[in-house]
Amino acid sequence: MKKVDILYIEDNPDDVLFFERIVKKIDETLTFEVAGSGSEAISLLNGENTDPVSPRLILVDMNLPGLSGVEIVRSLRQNQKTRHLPLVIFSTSDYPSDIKNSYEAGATGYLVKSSSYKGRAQQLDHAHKFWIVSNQYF
Amino acid sequence: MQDVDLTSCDREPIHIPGSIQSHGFLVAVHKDSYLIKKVSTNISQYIRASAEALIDQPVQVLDAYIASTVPGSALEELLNVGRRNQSFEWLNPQQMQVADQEMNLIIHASGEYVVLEFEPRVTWMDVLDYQKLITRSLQEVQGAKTLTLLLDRAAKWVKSITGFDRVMVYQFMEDWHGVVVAEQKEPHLEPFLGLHYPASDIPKQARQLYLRNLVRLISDVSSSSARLYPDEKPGSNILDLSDSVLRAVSPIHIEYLKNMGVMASMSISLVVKGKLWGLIACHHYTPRFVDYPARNTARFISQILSATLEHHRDETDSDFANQIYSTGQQLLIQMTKDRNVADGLVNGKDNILQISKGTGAALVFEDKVHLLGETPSEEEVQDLVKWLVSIKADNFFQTTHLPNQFVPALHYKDKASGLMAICLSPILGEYVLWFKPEQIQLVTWAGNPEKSVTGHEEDGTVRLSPRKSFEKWTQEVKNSSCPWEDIEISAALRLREDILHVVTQKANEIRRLNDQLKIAYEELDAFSYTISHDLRTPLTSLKSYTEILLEDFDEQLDDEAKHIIDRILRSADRMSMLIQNVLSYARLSRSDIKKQDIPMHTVIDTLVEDLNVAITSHKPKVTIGATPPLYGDPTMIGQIFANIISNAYKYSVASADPQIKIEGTVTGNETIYSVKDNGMGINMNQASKVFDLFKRLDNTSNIEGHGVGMAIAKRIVNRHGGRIWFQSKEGEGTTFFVALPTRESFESALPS
Repeated sequence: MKKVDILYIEDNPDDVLFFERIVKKIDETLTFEVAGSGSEAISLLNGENTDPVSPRLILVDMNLPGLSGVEIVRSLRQNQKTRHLPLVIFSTSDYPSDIKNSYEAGATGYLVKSSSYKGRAQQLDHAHKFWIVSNQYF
Repeated sequence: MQDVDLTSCDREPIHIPGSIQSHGFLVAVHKDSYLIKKVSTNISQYIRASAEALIDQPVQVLDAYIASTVPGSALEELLNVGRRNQSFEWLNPQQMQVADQEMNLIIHASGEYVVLEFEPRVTWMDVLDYQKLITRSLQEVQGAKTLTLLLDRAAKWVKSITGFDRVMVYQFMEDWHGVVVAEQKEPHLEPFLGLHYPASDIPKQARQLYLRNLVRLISDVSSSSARLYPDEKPGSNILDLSDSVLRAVSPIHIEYLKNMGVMASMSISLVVKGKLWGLIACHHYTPRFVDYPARNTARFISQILSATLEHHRDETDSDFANQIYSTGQQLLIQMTKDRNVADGLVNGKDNILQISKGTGAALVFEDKVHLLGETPSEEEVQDLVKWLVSIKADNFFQTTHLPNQFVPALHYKDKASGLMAICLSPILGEYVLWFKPEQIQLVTWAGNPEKSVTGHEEDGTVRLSPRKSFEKWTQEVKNSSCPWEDIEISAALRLREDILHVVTQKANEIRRLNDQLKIAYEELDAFSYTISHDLRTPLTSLKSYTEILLEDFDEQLDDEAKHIIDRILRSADRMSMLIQNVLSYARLSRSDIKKQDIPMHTVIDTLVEDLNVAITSHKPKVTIGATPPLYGDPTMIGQIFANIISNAYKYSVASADPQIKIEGTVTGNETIYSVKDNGMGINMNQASKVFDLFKRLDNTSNIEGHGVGMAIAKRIVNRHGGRIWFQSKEGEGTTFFVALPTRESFESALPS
């Protein structure tokens, strides 16, 4: 089993790059895996090709190729291994229906991606402090 | 005393009188045995044999007295021929020599009897003459262009064939009372044309017999009738004389004719579409006998007349029908054209008034009353419609005496004694109405119709007696109009179909547009979402990279590079805001409005505080007056005030002593808020652009803004059913006003 702090499901390479930069600044020792789609994330979590990945927090983008963020949350909530994990949507969408649907699918939280780099750094810093540092996980 | 009503006459058994008129004689034989079973007692006046002696004798015994003028046509042979053909009709009449007299034999079957009737033959015209007469009368009758002319000519021909003193065409009305509609008479006689006769003058069973025997002759009112032998007793095999040509006349009818001074009468039925339309009634003031061939000719003419009546339509009528038809077409075109039903019916080249002979018309449609011509007032029409709904007139209704049915109509009987109505929707009370004015009619009765039958008490029994007086008796009929003609009624019904058709089409069209609109809205939603995501994502990246440049590569950049990067960042911010604003503007049209009372003081205070924090220099002096609550969606209303107040800030900070005054008042149905500044003001030439999307005014280029705020404000206000406007003077300041309906006025406007 490969333990990581964060599994980030994101298809946009720019966003992945910003994420990596920000995370390194927050804490050099943080570990993370990136999956470009829902199916890739699910195979990582199930260890289909490699050691199964076991994250302490999963960040999910909304608009993804294949499964949408909401569908990924729904699917992970039905999986015995992932049903207790903190699942936080990290999306530019502030559409009320997207937010509502996410919580109904079983999301733990919903962060609207800030349109600025600084704003996003602050959001990820908060998320790190809460979910990785403070949160007691199962 | 027993009541005598008009129906007492209806019960008199006139088809089995047990006697015949004495201008001829009757022999009835059994249909199979040919044994003589009934004989009229007057037979002894014609042959040397008595009724008693003939009973139960074979029919051949009559051969001793009666011979056919045609050889080989003895009575038995005639009976055989008729039996084989199952009809005697075509044998009639047979010319017979009865003792020394020439007579016509008329045969018919009745129950188990075959009835032989002998009546005089009067050869005052030969067969050829009749044919000529018929040909000429046919041409004349069928050539008549109007109903009056048609009836007049028919009467004229019947008079010349039968030679009666007076020949009338008598038409039955709805209630079976009759009117003389055409008359030909000897010049010295008083005219009966136009007189009305009560229904009881020709009782029901008499009318039934008129349908069965088309011709009925009473040749001498004063002669006594001849009894049948043996006496007809109830329960025995009574001879039904319904089809008899000699059948005796009811004593009541004899008395009636005598009272009128008539000595002989003949009636020929006019049957139209199986219904007794009327009679050709012939009167003679001395006894008069018309023989069988002449009666047949008259009957023939009456049948031609009947057939013509069935298809006849006055030419004047057909002109009107054509006009009505083309008006109907035109109305349909007008309604369909712009799909505005009411406009098409009342405001076009043609209107609903023209499809009837009415003098006024009203359209009650979509909560509006449209009046044309002479009509009751709008309120009266509305009351009338309520009454129509209450009597369930949910398709078609017509009356010629509205005030008798609906009392309030007495007030406008001069305009609407006659009403024709078609219902478009009983639930919505939508109708088209046509009116006809009161027409005071003088109906002249031949005698007071209420005294048409009198009862006499004789030996404790009631005996019917017809009226004795035929003195003209004039009745004034009020509260009634000219009748609604068939073509008016059918035009109205057609119009109803047309209107309902157009209304349905219109509803379908609206439904279709609505569906399209829904689809368009859904597409717009999807589009907005796509924009928000797809445009924002690269923009965010652009911005983020720029931020990274500034933050992480600070030392490697000179001031000019930093300045340029700063401009990139600001442009990206601006574009991001624009996208955000467009989206919120677009979403406004779909979001639900959740109305509640909004505590405006809190809203305004918060806004002012926020704006004061954002502004670093030169804070305006803000005065807040009365703040009555507004009734609306708190988020949206908050947006309006954020936009207006921040504008007041933005455009007044440059003033020497910036001042802003905010206050609200309640006036009537509205709560009006004003936000007044003493800023740069707006050139009123550009006033119309203030609320346009993405429109910024001339002198504002150095002030931050996107041209979206006021467009959003206006859209919100409109969605709340309110108003937004402003007053301004360049260099002196601007006041914006927002007026929204108060809670009370909003709730009272809700459909109950």
